Amino acid sequence: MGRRVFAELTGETSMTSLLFLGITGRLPEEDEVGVLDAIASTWTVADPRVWPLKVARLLASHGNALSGLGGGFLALSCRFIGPWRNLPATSRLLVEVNEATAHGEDFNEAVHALLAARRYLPGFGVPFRAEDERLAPLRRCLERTGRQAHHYFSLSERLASWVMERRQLGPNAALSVAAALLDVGVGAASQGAMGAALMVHMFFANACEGAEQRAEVLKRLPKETVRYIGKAPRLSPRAQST
Amino acid sequence: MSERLDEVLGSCPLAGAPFSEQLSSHVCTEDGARVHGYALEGDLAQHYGMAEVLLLSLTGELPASQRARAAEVALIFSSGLSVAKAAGHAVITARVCGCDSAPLTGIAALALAEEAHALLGRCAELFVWLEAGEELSPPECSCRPGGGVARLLGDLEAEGIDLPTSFMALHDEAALVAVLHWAGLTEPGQISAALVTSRLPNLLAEAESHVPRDFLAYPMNLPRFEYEPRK
Repeated sequence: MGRRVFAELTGETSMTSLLFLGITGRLPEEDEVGVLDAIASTWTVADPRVWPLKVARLLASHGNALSGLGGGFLALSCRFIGPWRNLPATSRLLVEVNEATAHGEDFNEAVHALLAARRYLPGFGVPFRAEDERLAPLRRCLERTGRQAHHYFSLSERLASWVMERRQLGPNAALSVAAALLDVGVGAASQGAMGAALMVHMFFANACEGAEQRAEVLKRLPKETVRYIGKAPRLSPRAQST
Repeated sequence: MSERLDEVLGSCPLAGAPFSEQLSSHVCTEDGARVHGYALEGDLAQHYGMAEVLLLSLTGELPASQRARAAEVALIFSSGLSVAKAAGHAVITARVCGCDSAPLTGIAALALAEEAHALLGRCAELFVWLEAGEELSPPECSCRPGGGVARLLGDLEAEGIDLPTSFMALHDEAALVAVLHWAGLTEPGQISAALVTSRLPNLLAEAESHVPRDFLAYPMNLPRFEYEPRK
């Protein structure tokens, strides 16, 4: 990335900054590092029941934390959980809303025209609870440097109000995170990787502890926890003819 | 770009090392047409079955018929899997949250490789015994009280495949490894590759049979985790 490791980076650069450099090609400003750290901490959930983290635990259960890490990260590529697909999709939505409303159009009419036909809106919908508990803490972090007033974050909050009023659907963390990342210059194409990078600590936590514990119950669940619902026992044609 | 890289690498400790200019291939020709010298299309596909080609791939030579059949029976015996085990549980979890086939395959292969590695670790003493030529009694930890794997060895005996009688004392896992070793897979890596290959289809089929996003059908609290704060 054009930076001399020992002359420029060593002793001057945090892990967050190095991750940002690796993904975007530039070093972040100090307050941008604050945004990234805020994202990483507010969405930290080392709950081993979260599906990709559980995959990490399961693959680490024989004692190899790296297998846990690798498997868990592969599971992050899923469609429904995590940042890999959700952040790029959400940031593209924000960019579209921005383009539709950037030239003096009536916000409500422009957004309605853009979204009316779309059943699914990335960045919206909060499963299993009334609201996403990560939104307020992230906003408070951004308020410390005034970043809650930056363009895409403001737009995301305006869009969230519009969606809530018309579809009774609340925003989830992907909306705020995608907006905050757009405001630090991370485009849609890089948001999946950036999101994954900012979650790496959770996967390390589960993979390392999983490898250390080598829990027998993760290597094999008790028999009674499995319910077979496949085909009934049967004899093959060749076995029948012998 | 390459000139700048050379400028940078010029100061790198690796810069002066005499690296090869080519990547070596030992098993398949560059066009993928031959495996260990044999033509896939005009030869192997016409005259050999999958188990024989698997053994060729892993050992470098075509196996004798009896060895191939023994490996085939053993791998079929071991190809079933329980979703209660880590590999099955992991791919179902990944599928439910919407993983596509490429990452699912990666997770499945990694999980099966870890299980195979664990199995081979448990059979470390057995390997020493197998390499020594089976004249002594098998290690106690590989044995099962009252006799060994009657079905596996019985099936092979019925086909006229004579395995060492000492195999009868082995427990299931040890008998599986012993038969594969007898069939020509004498390195742990070869046995691991064979086990992963035999189990992968059933594991991926199991994953595909689950519905993505059907979270309520997935037992979220299995197993039940308890949080213990670190002191």
